[in-house]
Amino acid sequence: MLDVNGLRKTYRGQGREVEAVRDLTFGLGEGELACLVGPSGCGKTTLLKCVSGLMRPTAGTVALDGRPVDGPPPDMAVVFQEYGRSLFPWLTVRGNVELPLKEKRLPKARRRELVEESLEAVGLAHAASLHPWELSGGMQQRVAIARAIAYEPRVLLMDEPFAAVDAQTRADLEDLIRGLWKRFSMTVLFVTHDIDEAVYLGERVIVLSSSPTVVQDDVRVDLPEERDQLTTRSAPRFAELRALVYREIQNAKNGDGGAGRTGAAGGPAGTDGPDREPTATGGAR
Amino acid sequence: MSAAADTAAPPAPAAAGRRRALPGRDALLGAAGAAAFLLLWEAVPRTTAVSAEFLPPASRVLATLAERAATAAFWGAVGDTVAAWALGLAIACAAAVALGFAVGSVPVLRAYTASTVEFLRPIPSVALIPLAILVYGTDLRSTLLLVVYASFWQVYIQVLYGVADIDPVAEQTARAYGLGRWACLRHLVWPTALPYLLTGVRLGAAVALILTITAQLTIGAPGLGQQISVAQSSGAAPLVYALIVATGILGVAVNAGVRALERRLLRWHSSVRGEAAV
Repeated sequence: MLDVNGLRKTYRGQGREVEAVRDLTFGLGEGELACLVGPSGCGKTTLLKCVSGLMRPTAGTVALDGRPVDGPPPDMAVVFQEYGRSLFPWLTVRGNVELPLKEKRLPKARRRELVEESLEAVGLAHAASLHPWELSGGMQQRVAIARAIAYEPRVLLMDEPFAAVDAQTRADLEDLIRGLWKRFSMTVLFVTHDIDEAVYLGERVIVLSSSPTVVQDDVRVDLPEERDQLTTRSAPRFAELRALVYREIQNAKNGDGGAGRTGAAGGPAGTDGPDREPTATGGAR
Repeated sequence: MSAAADTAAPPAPAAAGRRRALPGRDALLGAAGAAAFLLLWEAVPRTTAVSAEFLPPASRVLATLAERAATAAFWGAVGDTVAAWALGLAIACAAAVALGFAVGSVPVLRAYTASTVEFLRPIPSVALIPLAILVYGTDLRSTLLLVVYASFWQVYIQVLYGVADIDPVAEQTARAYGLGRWACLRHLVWPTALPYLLTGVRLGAAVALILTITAQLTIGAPGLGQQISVAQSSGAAPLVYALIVATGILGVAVNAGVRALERRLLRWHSSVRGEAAV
């Protein structure tokens, strides 16, 4: 339902051109939960901004249900990493969640219903009348997630949403996301730099190469549907998948294209593997 | 056990209590300072250093003020001054907000007007007095011209900064959730610019009062300034001082009023919400 085709983004500035994303093609099926992981600085955020319609790609297309995305689509919600800046401090928790619904011109009763349901789903029903800055970081991110869910999106995009919260909160939030994904049957694209998180959360992990970015590998996560921080993370298959993704990212950093080298499972190999120069020497001199 | 718990009572509330006690102590110190100043003012004219003819003792000035405060003429003058001040400030704020939001949200327009603003802004409002008299005579409008010109720039510059201070993440959030142009202005740009606007209003309010009194002094528009000028020409030194004190009190009241407004409207802002968790 979400198709990214030949996406390319170059930033132009001070006479220099930086190619952040070279050529990305992938698709998400209805109701899929996919994680995008890649080395830091590989253009994950750029990709997400293009997918969400916040930024125009230099070339290539993003389509939602066959309709091209040329602005933020009404059935797509985004959760940003910087929850503190993404929530409006002058509004209460309820006000923050309700504001997009007012813009959708939903009747008052329906708005109240959605706000209550989504706050209850993230476990913050009691905090509706507080301001975001009266809550802890993890709770603030829950508010942002509630706002996204209340928006009733078909696609939920998350840009490293848990990068700024502590490890325990993070584990709770990961389980929350899996729970919400099942309960509200959305398609979720989750961007992260954390390999464990990607494998634990996703039904599928899309590994990106370092900049200029292409799809390095596409790994299907064949872990059981019911996941648990203790048992899932100690399962042998989890360790294998984790190692596989880790290796791919190492290859990506060394400028080695594709899964072919490791001989491991996976989808399409990197588009232009062997003849691509290692990035380490690419920029020098 | 319970005694130990009592003495070791949660350190946080104790610290908070001490912190909350501080303003009280500050107020006490402030009152003591003011009393010392009044005593000094009372004492100095009674020495040979300064003649009581030019600097009457505080008691005499305050007595004169109390006497004046019983007359309708005094309150009429206060009313004229406050009316001119409030009207001028209101016009300046309305114009500054409208222009500031319009120019501030169009970077090209902002750059285009920047040099002109930088030229007009430093012109002292008092330099416009002859012009005001030439155009409007001693009418209220000439006072307003000066007041509006002086306070407009204070507010306008702050609004420009405020409109430019939109957080990019907040802006992307607004766009991602389908907020239109009007909703963005209402729910994002306005609240972001509000702290700046109120700072501008506070600065502008003080400047507006100065210019109101100046206009009344020099142009002779009715108000406290004009009363001071009349008292001066009749050589009534205690009355001159009493009226000056009255303008001072007005200034303090204006500042306190704007600060209260700020605290009320910006409860959510980090500068007001204080020690709340971040």
